[in-house]
Amino acid sequence: MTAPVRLETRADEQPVVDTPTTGGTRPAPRRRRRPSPGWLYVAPALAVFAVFVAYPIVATIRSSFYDYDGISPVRQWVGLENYREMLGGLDPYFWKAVTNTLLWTVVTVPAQLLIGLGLAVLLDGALRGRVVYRTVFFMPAVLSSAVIAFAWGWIFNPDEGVATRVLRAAGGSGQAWLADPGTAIWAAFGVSAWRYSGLFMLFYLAAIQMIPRDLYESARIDGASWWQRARRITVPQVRPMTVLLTLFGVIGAFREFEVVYILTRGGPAHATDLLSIQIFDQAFDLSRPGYAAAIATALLALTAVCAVVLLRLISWANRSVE
Amino acid sequence: MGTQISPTPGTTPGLLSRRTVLRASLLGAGAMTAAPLLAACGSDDGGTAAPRSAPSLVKPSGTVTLTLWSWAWPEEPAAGQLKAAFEAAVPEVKLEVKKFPFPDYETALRTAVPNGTSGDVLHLQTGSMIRQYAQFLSPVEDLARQAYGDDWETQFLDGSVKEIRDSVPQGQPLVAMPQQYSIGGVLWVNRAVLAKAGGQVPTSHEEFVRISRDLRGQGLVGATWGAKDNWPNTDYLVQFASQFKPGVVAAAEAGQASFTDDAIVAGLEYLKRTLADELWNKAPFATPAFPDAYDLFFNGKAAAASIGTWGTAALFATPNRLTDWAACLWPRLPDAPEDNWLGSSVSGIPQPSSASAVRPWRTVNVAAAMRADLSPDKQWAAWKFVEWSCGEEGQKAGSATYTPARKGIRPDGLNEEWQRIYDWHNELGKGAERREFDYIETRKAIESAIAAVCVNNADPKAELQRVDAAAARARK
Repeated sequence: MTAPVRLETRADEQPVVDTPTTGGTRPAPRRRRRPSPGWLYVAPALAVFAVFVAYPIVATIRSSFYDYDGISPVRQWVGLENYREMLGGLDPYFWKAVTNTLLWTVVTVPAQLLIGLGLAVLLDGALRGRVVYRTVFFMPAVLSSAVIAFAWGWIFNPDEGVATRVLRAAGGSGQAWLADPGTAIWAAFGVSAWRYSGLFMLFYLAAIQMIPRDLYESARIDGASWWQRARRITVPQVRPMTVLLTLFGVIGAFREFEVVYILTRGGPAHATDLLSIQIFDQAFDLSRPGYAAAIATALLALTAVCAVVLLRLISWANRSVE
Repeated sequence: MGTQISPTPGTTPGLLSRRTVLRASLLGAGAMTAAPLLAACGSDDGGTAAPRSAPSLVKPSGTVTLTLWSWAWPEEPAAGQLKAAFEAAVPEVKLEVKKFPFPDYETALRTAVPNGTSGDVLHLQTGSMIRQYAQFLSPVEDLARQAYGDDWETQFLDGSVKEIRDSVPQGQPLVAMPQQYSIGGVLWVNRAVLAKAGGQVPTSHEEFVRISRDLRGQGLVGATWGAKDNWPNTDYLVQFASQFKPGVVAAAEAGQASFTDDAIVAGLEYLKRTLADELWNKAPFATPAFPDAYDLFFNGKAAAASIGTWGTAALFATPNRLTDWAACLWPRLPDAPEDNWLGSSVSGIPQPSSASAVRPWRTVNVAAAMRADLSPDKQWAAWKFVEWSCGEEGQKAGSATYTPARKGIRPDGLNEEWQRIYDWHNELGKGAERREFDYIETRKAIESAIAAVCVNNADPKAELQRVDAAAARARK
């Protein structure tokens, strides 16, 4: 009698045929399992990740437990002292920078999403010259930060800036946008929204063009208005892209540095201080890389929490569209 | 770190399984991460101290290429002329200059000096900058004595060598030579612009306010202030506080006085008052000093700017500047005590502002230093450059573009009036305030306090208490 053939399968292995044996004969040799070469394929990427991501993160966290000036080789272990100073109110500007960074995120990211989506919806139609418009709106995203900062610095110039002149022409007395703590951060928000909305528009355009056209046709036949079609079809269908762009936007907002630094240097009176600027100032102006590393670690934790939440949202958004 | 990977159950010897690769990757990543960390741990003991004895110099048999790092090297064509003058004086050395914008220079030094990849000769500021890098620099006092004689220190403008000595802890050797020395915080005025508001330099705060108001009505500016850059702000505070108590800011930084001293509070309150009284260009805290604020003066749109001998090169940009421009001191502050520090020793003031005028500041804005880890022939070349730059010949050669630290040297091309004004500046040095801070933390804290008071209407005493705390931390 012959026993049935049994197939053993592991998730990561080839099926193994277990041949039945008869009395007195040696069991047939198992076929040699070939290991998956997958890990070999990813090994270079892992090595790059280890050197350029994992190591700097570990080194930064480690540095945050030291007090040193970044010049002398002497490093003094201070344990959690940098964190105590940072979180315990001894640094008067840390919490201001945290507030500004969060404010930056909750203001600029929705603004970029809304403007980007609005532009995409407008430019998805049969608008004359839409390619030109798309190029114009996208252009700020490819300009260098320094160029943007200097250009907007001139626009906001309190004497001869375009923004000042427009206000004057409208009967106002001009506004020192970047000199007033009340307006400086909003001016910087505006620059950020202007810069990235075109990029978001491009992503949204791609997402909108993936929406089946028959959905719009059906809605049109049912008498849905343009606004209803946008609200009931476009917005839900691009939800995965919205969440993805939110993730990009939040990470970008936490990393924002160059434009604000050149535009205001975190001033006036720390009104536009962001965590990234604090890190730079502490490390390079005040020669306190250990303390800067503590702030960087806090920023890393903040970014990681937001990323995890947003990645879960992306899964949810994908499921909801499916 | 050597790691042997042994076969484990479930794997086939001789072939790489997923688990093997994963383990190897993790071990590799761990090694890559851990090795430098362990190496870094080993450096916690302080590393190797730089040699503190005078360097041994060996004249090279051929030509040596020497690299100078600076933020203060002149622009072309003066840069080429200065380089050529040095190479003619010391033909064994070929000079290469790497010039940085100042903020980039600070950043570049931070990594390059400890790693030994910076220039062979470095231009440094006194105060915190020299203090930071002193451990990597060669002592130069013996070399200076050999080159210039036993009285070498007196050949430089009063206080300049002392300022460098004071930049390092007591007992440490002198590690840099004064190359450029400036008297700053002197009001340079444009007589053509002033003429539109009566033609006289301000002799009191009230007069200054009136001049500014008159000029503003004509689309011009009374005085320029680029407060966005922060460094002009501490300059003003040092000057204004000294009206109430000379030397009080330096004393507070040293812990011999408090930053909440009434004199500093009064100086800060006066600085805020100048904003309320609209002495300045619009929105100084949104205006960088360079080019924006100073360009207002250089382009004839402002009556006055706080300059000093460091601005001498600007005099030659257009011929009319030598005749249009003059200089005076900031007039006495309201409620400040009589302080006739000018006495009778200062001569040749072309535009007297008032008795008890505000003291200017002084600084060795460029000191020349050489790295301690150079080879003997490079040390020789480096010292030759320092010796030439700070000697009579080099000082004269560079005087058209910077302010010599040596006594008796002034740039060619000044008219008679400006020769007197130039000498007058250097004479003012005797009563001038120290500009630089020993600790960058103190400077930054003062900058924050000034901005908070001037822009956010914060309480000066509360803000200055924070400066006290920061200064105390820095001294530790």
